[in-house]
Amino acid sequence: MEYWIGLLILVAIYMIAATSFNLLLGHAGIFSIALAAFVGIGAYSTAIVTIKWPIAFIPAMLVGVLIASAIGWIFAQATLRVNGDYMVVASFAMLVIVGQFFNNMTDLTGGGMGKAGIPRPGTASVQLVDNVSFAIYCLVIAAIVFAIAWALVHSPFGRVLRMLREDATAATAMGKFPRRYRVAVFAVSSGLAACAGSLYAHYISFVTPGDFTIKLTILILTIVVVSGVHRLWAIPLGTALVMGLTEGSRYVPLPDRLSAGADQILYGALLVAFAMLRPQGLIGPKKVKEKVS
Amino acid sequence: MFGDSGQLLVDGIAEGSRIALVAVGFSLIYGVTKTLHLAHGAILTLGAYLLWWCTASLSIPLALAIVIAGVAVAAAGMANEVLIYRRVRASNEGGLILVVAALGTGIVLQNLLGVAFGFDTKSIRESTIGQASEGLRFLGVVVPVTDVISVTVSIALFAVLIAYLRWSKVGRQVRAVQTNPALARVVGVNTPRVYAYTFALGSVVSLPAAFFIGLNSGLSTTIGFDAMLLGFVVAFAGGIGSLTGTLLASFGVGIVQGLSLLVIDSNWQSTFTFGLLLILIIVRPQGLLGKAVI
Repeated sequence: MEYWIGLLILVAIYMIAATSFNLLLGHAGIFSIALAAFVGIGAYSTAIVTIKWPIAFIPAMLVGVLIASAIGWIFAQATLRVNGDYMVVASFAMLVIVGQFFNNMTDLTGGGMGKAGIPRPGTASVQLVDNVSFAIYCLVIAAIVFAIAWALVHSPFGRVLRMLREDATAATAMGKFPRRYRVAVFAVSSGLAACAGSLYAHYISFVTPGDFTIKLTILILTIVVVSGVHRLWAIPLGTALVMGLTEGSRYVPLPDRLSAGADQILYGALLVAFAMLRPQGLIGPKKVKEKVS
Repeated sequence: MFGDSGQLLVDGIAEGSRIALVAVGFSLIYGVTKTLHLAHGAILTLGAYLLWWCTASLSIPLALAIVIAGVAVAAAGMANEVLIYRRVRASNEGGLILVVAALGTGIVLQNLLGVAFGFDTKSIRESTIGQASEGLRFLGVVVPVTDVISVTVSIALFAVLIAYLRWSKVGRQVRAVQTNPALARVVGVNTPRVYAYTFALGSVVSLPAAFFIGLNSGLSTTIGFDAMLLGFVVAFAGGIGSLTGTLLASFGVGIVQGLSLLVIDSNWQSTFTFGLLLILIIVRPQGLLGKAVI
């Protein structure tokens, strides 16, 4: 039972990260490898403030969200003059730089040894120390994040984003300034990614730089691609499927040398297979026609 | 004092040559096919492991091992294009899904190599060129012989490649596709074949990089990916499609990165280098020698 609760918590956390990534990749057409960096910024911010001060969880999470959004905003403001493949390259650089900060700012982050002793959220009367209440807590936050993303995508703002993705020239001609919208969605997405990081830090109670590498971005990317990049609503399904496959693969008796790379091979194979065979994701017709009205 | 900075300068030049050897294939492939070939690093690792496996386990002489590894990486690059990228491009889902496929291919190949040969770090030196010699010494600076060779090979490779693309028939076709794919097709250039050929060529030229990086840092499954990161940021910074720009940027980055150790701790080296490249890409998206795009 404990195992399933733990898995549920991780599913909720990855769902939040995937929602953040889906906003960028699916709706704004921005491919940022730096997702893991923003999850990490959220995790470290929360870890640092909750260890240092007796601060409640929600304000601690908001600190992480604000810092991540601010960094995301600055990064996007600088780099989103270019998009497409250039953004992939620039976000790689960003991931490397943030990773070095986690590793080197030893006083702040604990360096390569990581930061331990992050308390579970709670007030003096209600402590969420048991996993069941923490799982509910994570699911509630996941639902809120999902609702924010849903509202954003279905707002006039979301419509402009999709228009920019499909035809930036036409959108510009209609008086929409592409960069302003893209920078805004990048900042929002970075903040949502930080939520996932905060919850992760509280759940594991221990963060290291190794938790926020490209491997995390690849896992979340796999979830988004399996769900279908244009389909926000399929993310719970996609997360459950990818996590189910990951956990399931541990029960397949593999020789040791094979199991070391099994997760990454699984994710890579899913990425290639979906890109080739079902670029629209798990469910739905071949080509989604977006309504730009 | 001079000894220190001189040594860092020499090491930086050697590092620059290794960056250039990685960047050249990536730049060529991206310039012609506009595919962000993120599996390039894994193909480089494949070449390095084959060199190691042929010489260490099968005791094949180095020259023959180079031929075998060369043919294998060319085939891998071409297969990557023909079996995966071409089909993804045909589905017409936009460029980002192609990046997804490229990233996925790279991860699978890299980890399969780990599964096949083990994830531990290996030495490629003993089985290929034997123990390191003393190196050349002058003015208190030690220059390893392999570094001299790596710099020579990188410059020679760029020269041969530039000449080849300029004057050979195939090279002209490649440049035609690079400049204007639609027009090239109209005048009878077989574009898919040029793409496949470019991937084979771009992969083969990563073999010297595989060898020299393996010599320098030992062989592990991530060497290709790590080297590619720097290589492709350099390729973008140098100007996509401009091999001269790529070469200049590579040596520039190598030297600046080497000399940066005079003022910063080596822990911050990547932040410094990638930060600099990030700024260059932001300020000058078309790269050092690239043509401005709209």
